[in-house]
Amino acid sequence: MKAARISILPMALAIFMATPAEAHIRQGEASGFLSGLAHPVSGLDHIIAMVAVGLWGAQLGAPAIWLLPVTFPMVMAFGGFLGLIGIPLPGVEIGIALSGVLLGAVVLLELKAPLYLAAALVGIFGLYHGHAHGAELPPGEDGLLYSLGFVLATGALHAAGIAIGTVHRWTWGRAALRLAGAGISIGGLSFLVAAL
Amino acid sequence: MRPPIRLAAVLALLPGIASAHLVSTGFGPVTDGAYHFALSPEQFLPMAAFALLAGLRGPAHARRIIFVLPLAWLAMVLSGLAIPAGFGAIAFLLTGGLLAANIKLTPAQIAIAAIVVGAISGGTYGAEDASLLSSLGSAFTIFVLLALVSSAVLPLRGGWQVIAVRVLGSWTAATGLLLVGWAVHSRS
Repeated sequence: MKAARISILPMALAIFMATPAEAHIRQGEASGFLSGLAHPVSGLDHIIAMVAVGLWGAQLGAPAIWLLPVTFPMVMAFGGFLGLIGIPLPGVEIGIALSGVLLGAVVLLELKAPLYLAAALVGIFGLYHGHAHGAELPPGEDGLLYSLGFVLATGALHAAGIAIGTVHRWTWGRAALRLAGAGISIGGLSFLVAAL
Repeated sequence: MRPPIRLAAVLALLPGIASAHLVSTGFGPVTDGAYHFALSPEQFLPMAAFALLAGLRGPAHARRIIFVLPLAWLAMVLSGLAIPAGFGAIAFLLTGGLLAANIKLTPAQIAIAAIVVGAISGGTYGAEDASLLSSLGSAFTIFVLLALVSSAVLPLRGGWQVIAVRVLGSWTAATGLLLVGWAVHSRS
């Protein structure tokens, strides 16, 4: 186990220290990755919903805390896929705003929903968020690196929510999470008013 | 400071400009091939995901894939059978999906999957660069990549570390799904 730890840490750092491959013939890759990375964090409506998913997962505990981060990126990517191939999804902006309202509300209420219900709720909203991202893709970007950046940023937001949600083990943390849920819900409501 | 942290800190202070992707390193075609593969994320990411899956399943699985996959990849490249680059998304979907679901494949099944992944990746890579020596360099890099990545997760027996590895699989599959969308989007 110790040997594995020794090898994993330098490997991980070596990945992060990579510098731009300036001499590569293809153009636009770095901007593709950065655009993908920036896209999920470019709108507060997306950020609050994705963080709320992480917070709710932390409140629900196992297995939701690990099932949601495994399934959410895939459902969201499916939404992005639908957006990319041009299949319309009605009321995308309303759906996104509603995700903030409802996900904030379940965090506020600390709702202990069954796993299938939690996964369905998160999945439906993930579809809306993914579709919006897919439909808004900038032209001329590199598909792979854009997608990688997009998925990494989504996962990072989700992980941030889970990390914040770990304060749930303390009494003050539970109260803080519920307060955060209220804030998210209010934020979602403001987006809903704007969308309507 | 503990030795691994010290080593990691030294590594972090060493980055240089990664200008090697000119595929002309000056060290010959084998090295060019090795570098070209190492700087082709569309090639090494699905393979890394597959190595993680094999590593999670155990040493018998990992030993199979570190030989079978590079050979399948090399055979496909040398055969000259080119697959359109857009099909590379299938490798992402397949390896990421298997890893995210943590599918319990037998050693024989994982060897078959390795042939499929190697063939898809080799077919898409062959379209770009099919010279013998550079392909050998790339195949050697694949071997090293698979051995390193699968061995890194071999000691994991459960808990949050396995979940984190599965999350990487879901990210890989999600990337593949978006790539399929990109391919359709670019054609329309």
